[in-house]
Amino acid sequence: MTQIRSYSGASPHALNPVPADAGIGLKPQHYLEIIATKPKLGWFEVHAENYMGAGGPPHRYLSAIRDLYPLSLHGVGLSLGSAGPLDRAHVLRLKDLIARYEPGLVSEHLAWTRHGATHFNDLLPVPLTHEALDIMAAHVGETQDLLGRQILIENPSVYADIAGAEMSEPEFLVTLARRTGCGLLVDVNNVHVSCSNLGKSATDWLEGIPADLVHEVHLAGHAVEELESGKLLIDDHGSAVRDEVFGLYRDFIERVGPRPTLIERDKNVPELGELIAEAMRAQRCLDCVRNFDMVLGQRHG
Amino acid sequence: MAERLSDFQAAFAEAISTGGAAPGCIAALPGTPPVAKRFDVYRNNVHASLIDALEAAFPAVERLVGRDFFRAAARLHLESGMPERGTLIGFGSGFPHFLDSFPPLRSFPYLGDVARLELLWLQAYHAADAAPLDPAVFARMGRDEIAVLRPVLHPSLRLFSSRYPVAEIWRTNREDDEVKPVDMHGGGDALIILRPETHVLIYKLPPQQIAFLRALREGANFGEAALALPPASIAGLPALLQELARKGVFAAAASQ
Repeated sequence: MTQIRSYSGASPHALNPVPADAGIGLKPQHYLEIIATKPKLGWFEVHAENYMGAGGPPHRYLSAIRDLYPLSLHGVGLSLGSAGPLDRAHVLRLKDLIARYEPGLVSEHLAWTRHGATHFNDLLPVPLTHEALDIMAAHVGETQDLLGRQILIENPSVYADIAGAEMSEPEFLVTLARRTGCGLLVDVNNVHVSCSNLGKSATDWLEGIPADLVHEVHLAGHAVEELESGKLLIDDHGSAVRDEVFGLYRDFIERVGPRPTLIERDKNVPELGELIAEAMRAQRCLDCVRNFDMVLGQRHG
Repeated sequence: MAERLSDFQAAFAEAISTGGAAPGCIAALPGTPPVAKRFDVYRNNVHASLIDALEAAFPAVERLVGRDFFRAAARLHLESGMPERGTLIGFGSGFPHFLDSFPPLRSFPYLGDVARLELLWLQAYHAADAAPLDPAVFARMGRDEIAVLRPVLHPSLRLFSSRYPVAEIWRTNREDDEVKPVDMHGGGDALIILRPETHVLIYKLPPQQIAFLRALREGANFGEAALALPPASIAGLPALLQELARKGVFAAAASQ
């Protein structure tokens, strides 16, 4: 059992906070346009693993963009949900990157990507058991101790139930956060995809997450595979955010308050302007919630 | 009683790798897409993302063999060539050897070396940054002074020798809208690959100059490394060093 740490609350990285505004995932094909046109966006996020080389153009452009915008580092390769030991070499690569860019937020997933010496490069599902929760909490605690800061944990897209579940996914995440002091990154598209695939209610899922644990929100598109036996939703980050996901998002931030909100697109990456237009759609929601809060007075947790 | 996490992951990993049936603990409600379809999403994500990564790393090889062949070969390579690190920077280091020994490619013996060049290109791309040494440093020094200098090679510098004209095969397949024929009987290549600034550069050098740089990389000073050069060219060492410095080969030089 890990001890409760004091990583939540005041961050030593408050100098470069990621604001409760809309941001987009930074793609190499947009580096030069962003540096030249400095579009009005709250922040950028990158996959940490794409910047784990020593130098070269990725760092050159990311540094230039980091000088203009707050940054969030989003890890996809740490495998916090592995039964095996934490990949400390990978944590140290992440630590170097954090020292280099001083990101406002650092996040990872409720998932495993490693088994033995093999990195599977996909966010594989963690059984919702007490044993897995203990292991995940130990790895999150160890990571936060090595990094000396809080990380956020994101809910993955899930395609199948794993027999023997002892709690719901929101219960797992909330207990993890309360035990380790980590925050949560709620991917509303993943909530929609997982709940649709598992025959559950996305609204109930989101209701299970207390506002104070939510530090960031992700939005993305997904694909729908129509099968004779029904449809499977596949999280492919390859298209615009769907209206049903946007509806869930609007309801969610009305309850929890404005949060940094990312538009993710990793396949079929469009022109920068198209991603900015999607970010503006989220920004209007955030502004609306903020204005509403100002009229009604301070929100309670 | 829930299955232990380590057993679950061992069974899941095995089923991903072997293409066998989904592990027994994977479940689906009746009347919804079956377990096999659901597990296939994970299996496909793993393999498609890694094949995409190899495709991104080896665009010249892909153009040479065609996209469908490339993806099928990459899928076979994954049976023994899964990544080990949590970042894919550096992934694919076993692919050139796989191409060398892949029977359907026996009549294209140069493909492995094209892949090696693409790997070195990526290594140079991601290498640490350093300001190249000013070539004028060598213009101000006499031969004896230069002979005892030991340079720091640029961190992006890579050396490569091939029996095949890989530089031109690589160039036309990476850059030309229509691939140009390459004279396969014109001899091999001795190359340096480096990135002094933003762009990765590839230069053909005489083989003795590659040997000279190899000696420097192993710690020789300029005088010792010059033994690799033809005797007649030793007098021209300052000029040669200026020429190499202009390409960005050196990051510093100090006498010791």
